[in-house]
Parts: sequence; C-alpha cells; structure tokens
Amino acid sequence: MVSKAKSVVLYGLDGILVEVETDVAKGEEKFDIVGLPDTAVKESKDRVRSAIKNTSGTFPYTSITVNLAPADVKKEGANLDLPIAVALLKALNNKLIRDVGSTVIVGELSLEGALRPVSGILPITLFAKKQGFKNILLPAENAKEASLVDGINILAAEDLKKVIAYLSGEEIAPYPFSEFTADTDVEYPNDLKYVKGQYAVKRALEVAVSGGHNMLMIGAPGSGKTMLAKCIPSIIPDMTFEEALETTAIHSVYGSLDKREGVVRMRPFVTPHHTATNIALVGGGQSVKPGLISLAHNGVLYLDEMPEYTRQTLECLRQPLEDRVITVSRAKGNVKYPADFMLVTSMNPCPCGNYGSKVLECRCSESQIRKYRAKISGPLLDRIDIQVHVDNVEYDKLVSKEQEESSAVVRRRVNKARLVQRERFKNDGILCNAQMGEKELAKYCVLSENDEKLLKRSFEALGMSARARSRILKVARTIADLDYSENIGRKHLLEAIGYRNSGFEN
Amino acid sequence: MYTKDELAIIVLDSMLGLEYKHKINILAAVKRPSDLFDKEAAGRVAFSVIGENKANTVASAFNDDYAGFILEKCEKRGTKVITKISEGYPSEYVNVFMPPLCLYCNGDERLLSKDKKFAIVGSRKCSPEMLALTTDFAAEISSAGGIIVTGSAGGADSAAIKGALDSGSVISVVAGGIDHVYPEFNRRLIEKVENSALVISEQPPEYEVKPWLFPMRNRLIAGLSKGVLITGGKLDSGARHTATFALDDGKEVFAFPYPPRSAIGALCNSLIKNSGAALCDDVNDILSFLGLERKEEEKTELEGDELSVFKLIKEGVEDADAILEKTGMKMFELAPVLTSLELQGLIVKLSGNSYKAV
Repeated sequence: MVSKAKSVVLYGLDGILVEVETDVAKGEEKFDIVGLPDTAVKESKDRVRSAIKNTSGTFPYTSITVNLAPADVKKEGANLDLPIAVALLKALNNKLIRDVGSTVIVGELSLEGALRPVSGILPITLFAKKQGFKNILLPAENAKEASLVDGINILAAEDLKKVIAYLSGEEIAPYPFSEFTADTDVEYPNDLKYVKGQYAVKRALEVAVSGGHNMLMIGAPGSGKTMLAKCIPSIIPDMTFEEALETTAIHSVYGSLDKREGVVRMRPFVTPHHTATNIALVGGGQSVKPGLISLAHNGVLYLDEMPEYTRQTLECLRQPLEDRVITVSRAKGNVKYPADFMLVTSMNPCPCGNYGSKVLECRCSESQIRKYRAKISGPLLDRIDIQVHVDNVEYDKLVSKEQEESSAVVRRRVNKARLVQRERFKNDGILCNAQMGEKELAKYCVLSENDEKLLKRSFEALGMSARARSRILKVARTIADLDYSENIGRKHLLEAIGYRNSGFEN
Repeated sequence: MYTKDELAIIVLDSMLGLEYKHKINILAAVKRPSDLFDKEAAGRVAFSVIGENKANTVASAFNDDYAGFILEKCEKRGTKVITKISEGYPSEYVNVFMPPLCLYCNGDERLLSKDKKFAIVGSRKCSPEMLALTTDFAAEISSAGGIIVTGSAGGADSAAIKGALDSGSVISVVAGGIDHVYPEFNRRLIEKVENSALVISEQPPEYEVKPWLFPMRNRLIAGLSKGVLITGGKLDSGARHTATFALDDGKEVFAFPYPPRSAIGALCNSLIKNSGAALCDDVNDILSFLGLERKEEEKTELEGDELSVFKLIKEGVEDADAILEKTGMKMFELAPVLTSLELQGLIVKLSGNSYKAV
C-alpha cells in the first residue's frame, strides 16, 4: 500500500515541495530511500525505524520503499524524518485516517521519538503558505519562529506520539500567530553615553545610521574606533516586519537563529575577522550556505582594520554593495541571497598608526603608508559615503563626569529620520537614502540655484571628483531628514560636504 | 632650432661616460664650441683633456648624424634643451656650483627667466597638517606672482606642486633624466606639471635616476631660487642639502616651526636655532620677502556663528570638541559652519577633526 506526505526542503532561501511516498510490501525485510537523498536523508531510515519502534512498540518486518519526489532534486538535511515517518505510519496502519494532503510536515526525529527543531523553518512556512497549504506540522521548538507567518495553521508536536494521536483524529490546537514587535527596551552593553567627547564622529555615526550610508573611520590605535562601532547596534533604527522576516529567514537557513526567540528582532551586527575566507563572507560551500554579508542583511557589516583584509576579500564586497544581493553560483545551480547591509569600516592612518598624531612619532616610510592605503581600492572607496577621522581623546576628558547623550536619545532621532525616508520612498521600492539611484536623486535631492553653485565651487576648491556628487547629495538628504526639512538646505549641504570621502591624498 | 655651438654642447653633455670637469675642460680648450665638429680639433682637445683611451670615441661623436639623433630623441617628448650659452639660460645658474651645461625642459621654459622664484622643499613624509599648510602657502605665493621651485617626490614636493599648479607657476626640478619619471606613483602629477608648468633636469633625458643625483639636484633648486622654505624633515632629510646650498649662497632660508623633540620637524628647528633660518608661520613673511602682495580676494564679511567659530580657531582652539565646549553649539550646528569656513579658504582641516586658520 502506498501513502503520501508532503514536505519542503530549501535550496538557498527557496523552497522545493517534496512529496514523500512510501510503499509497504510483503517480502524480504528492507528499508530503502530513493530520490536523490543526501547522507543525512539516507540515515533518516535508522532514526525513523527507532523512533517508531520506541513510540509504538513494534516495527514491522516488511519491505519498505520510500521515494522522494521530484526525483531529480538533491534533498538535504534531516527535516524529512517526520514526513517519512508519517507516510510510513499511514501506510502501515489504516486507523490513521487523518488526511495530510494539505499539510506540510517537517521535523527531525530522535531515536526515542522526540521531535528536534530544524533550521530554515521561517522560509519553509512562508513557502508553504504561498503554495496554499492550510497546515504545517512541525517540532514544538520551531513553532515560535513559524508563528510569524499569518494565514497558516501551525501545528506543533513535541514527539511522534502526539503526531500519531493527531493522525488518528485528535486535534492539535494551532499555535497562535505572534505579532512582530521590534526590541526597543534593550540594555546595550555599548552605549554612546559611555563615549566621552568625539562629537564629530558621533554625529557622523548618527547620520550614517539614519540613511544607511557606508562609512569609514580613520584613526590612531586606541582612539576608540572599535568602541564607537560597537555602539552602532544601540542607535540603529528598528526593523520593520518585512525586514525582520527577510533577516530571520537567512539566519534560519544559516542555522544561527535563536530557537527560543524564533525571530531576529535586532538588526544584525556582523564583525568578520580579517582572516575570514571569501566563501565565508559571500556564501557558498557544499550546501551553498549564506555568507556573513547575508547574515548582515538589513544590518551592519563591520570590518575593523580594513587594510588587514586581503584585497580579494574586499573586492568581493563590491558587487553586493552595488546590487544589495549576492548570487552564489555553483555547479549545482545559482542561489541568490539578499545582502543589503550597511558597511562600516575602520582603519589606521598608517601601519604603525601614528601618522598625523600630534604626540607620537610615525615610524613608517612614505612608501609603506602608500602601500597600506593602496590596499583599499578606488571602486570600494567610491561606495563609502561618509569618511570621518577619529581623534585621540585627551585624558582629562576621559575622566570627566559630564553626562553624554545616551544612545536611546540618538536612536529616537534615527528612527524618526528612517520613518521619513520610508514614507518618501514607499513607491520607489527602496528603504533609505543610501539606496537612492540617479532617478531618486533627481527627484528628491533638488538643490536651490545658489546651493548648486556652492556645490560646484566646493568641488573646485576641495578638488573632489565628480563621482563624489551623488554621495554628497545622498548624505545631505539624510541630514535634511534628521532636521525634518523637506528640501536640502545650505547647512545640510555644507555638513554633507564635510563628510566627503576625500580618498587618501597626501 | 639650435645653433652649431649649442649642438656641440648638447652632444658633449650627452656623453654619460664623461665627467663634468672633463666636459668643462674640453669646452675651455676650444675657442667656440662648434669647433668641436672639426674632427681633428676635437680629437686633439679630447686627447689633451682625457687621454688616449676615450679621445677617439669622444671626437667621433661630433658629427651631424649623431647630433640629429640626440635631438630627435629629445623632440619625441617635446623636450627643449637650453644650453649654457643659449638665450634663456637662467642667470642664477651662472654662479651656481658646477653650472649645468644643459637644462632639459618639458613644459613652459619661459618660467625659468621669470623673477621671484622661490623654493619649497621638505621631507617626503610630512605630517598631514604641514602638507596642507605647504599646499596653501604654495598657492598663496604662486597666485601672488611668485614661481614655486621644488622637486618631484611625494610629500612636501607634491604638496607644493598641488598648490601652485593652478596658477601654472611651478618649476619641478627632477634628479634623473626627464624621460624617467620618479617616483612612478607621481607620474600623473608630474605630467600635469609638464603640461601646464615646467619640469627641468640637468641630466640627459634617458639618464636613469641614481641616489647621488638628489643632492646634486638640490643645488639646482636652491640655486634657482631667491629663498627656500623648508617645510619639514628629520635631521638627515635630503632637504638639509637644499638648505645648506641656499645658506652657502647667502640666500634666505625659511622654516616652519615644530614642537620641541618632534623628530619629523627636527631639521626645521635646527635650521632656525643654529643656521639663522627665519621662522615662518605666516605666508606674508615670504610674500614680503619676495616683494609680493597678497592677492586680495573679495572678502565676505563673516557673521554670526561663522565669525565666532573663526575667531576661536584663530585663537588656537583647533579641536572640534573644544569648539563645541566653548561655544555651546551642537555638532550638527558646527559641522556646516566648519565646511563653510573651509570652502571660503579661511581654515584648513588638519588630520583628525582639528582645524587651523590660514
């Protein structure tokens, strides 16, 4: 007798519907799985056998064939354990009358029959809903993550026993849909209120975060670049539901999702070490997993000591910075992962770090400094909107008791500025100022005649390249948004010019 | 077109294997340089100056074919040659130590005969703020009518060139032959100088640069100029040669002041302390020395925040944090003011978030 169950496996973030067919026949005892299973799927027969035996007491001595359709797609992972078990149970026991034709079933089994959580539940649930399924049967620990999706019944089970009860007609109460709320009242370990002075950098951070602008901090060792960067999560704008869904889906596939939390509420802040390989950064590997830049989707990718990264690694970032998506191509096929992150980088002014210091002597030769800076290519610099210097803070200031503005206050301003942007771009398909293209620039960044002249003059006076124009306009737009100004005013423009990316002259 | 005399000198100068003193002696032994084109006379003179070994080689070089070959090489890159006896040979070089036989020029060679040439040199590695100041000084001097003389290296030289390039009043004296751009990373800048100002060398164009040519070149920088500004350098920086040449010629030497014990400016401080160099902290020092007047720009009256911030920076409150503290402004108010002042050319941004009044 043949019976069927439906499940979903993921390829990248895309779901593939898998039909699990089991056939039980008399004959020599065997248990075969066909339909391009990978090792984890092949091994699932042993887990299924033990789980069923330990739950219902027996496992029949019959000839069992399991087919995973479509037969030409490679299936990976352990989330097919449960659908195989369900299909098999239904084939063995005709008392299990529940129709599972409109239910997607996923889950990993333990030997004693308990259900283990699987990764990628959110994209699977979204896919199931899109395909018109009414229910999804999954391990209880995954329920919270799945419950972000509205319009599909989440049936959570702790173990196979409960699944068998469900199949024989008992009901499982659907897990309630949980409304997404951004985390607002979190105590961040790094708060701007602990950073003394550095007003210029703090302001630049605020502007960068508000508009999603890529940023470069240049400063001597110990000037506080890393500390300032670590404050970014505390001022970063709240995520919208759509953003949270996208980000959670990637983290879910990557396997880095907190199962109890079930959703990524805070914008990710990813800090790869400079020894990270290109693949680790952009994604790839055997099962074409997302890379760190995709983990930083809708969040921040922070590269500390940028010139320490290999040039090749840095160049890998260029295309995703432009397209906000990374396509990982392998012989198996192409996988697209979103990678819309804000790039924050820091570097020393020279290898020893003291170039330009008023107190310490720089020990580097001119050519050393040149080589150090040449590691960062022009095209990459072109994608950095804001460049700011971080000074060493004087001792007196460091120990002063003066109260600094806290991150919460800054964050409120940032949130408002983001709201303005979201409202403005709601028909343009973008979210923040940094994403503006030429079309949006022409539409939203109109300068008065006088300001246009000022900008032209400043290009001549400061020796900027013409490519700097769009960067300055984008930043000026953000500064105007922070000021609730509909148009870009002179002061906004002037401040934006101050953050210009001057490259590395001298 | 070159006269026969000039050609003879050019041919003589092109002989890389011949020492300078021999070249001078050969020239001194003939009545007119063009006499060297007489093979017999050339041979006789060469024999008397350098002996039997090379005499034949030297003498046989003086023919029209070889002269034409050399000129052709020069003309390929538009290089003009000014010989010791040519019109336009800078009068300053008549009295310099080892006056160059030929000057190879790419660019506008008329700059050489202009008055008020002033050298700006310094270490390849200067602090960013001193580089900014150097650029600014060069711009002020050149726009007031001075001609900046400098080298071609990175750091101070490049900063000076950048400042003066706009008014096209800069002479870059390179150490090696003019065909060899050194340093390579500065090619763009040097080509700009060739196009809108002047690059000169005393070495034949194909002569590759050698370390010992730099002090030699420095004598030309010092020799051409009325005075020299040393912008920075360690005690053993090459700029000390330029300063020494200038001091020996009794020329005025200016130097930027540096804080005590600052290695990067030790040369300047020692020049001021020991050699009677003039401490220079204002471009007017140099302008008045050259008898120039600062070109008056239409000045806009500052008012409000711009005025108070500018005053503070002038008083030496340079750090953005300190300005905020003094004025009680917020950073988003101060940022546009600073950029505006910078655009008006009233302040320059130093490394970090510090500013200096110009």
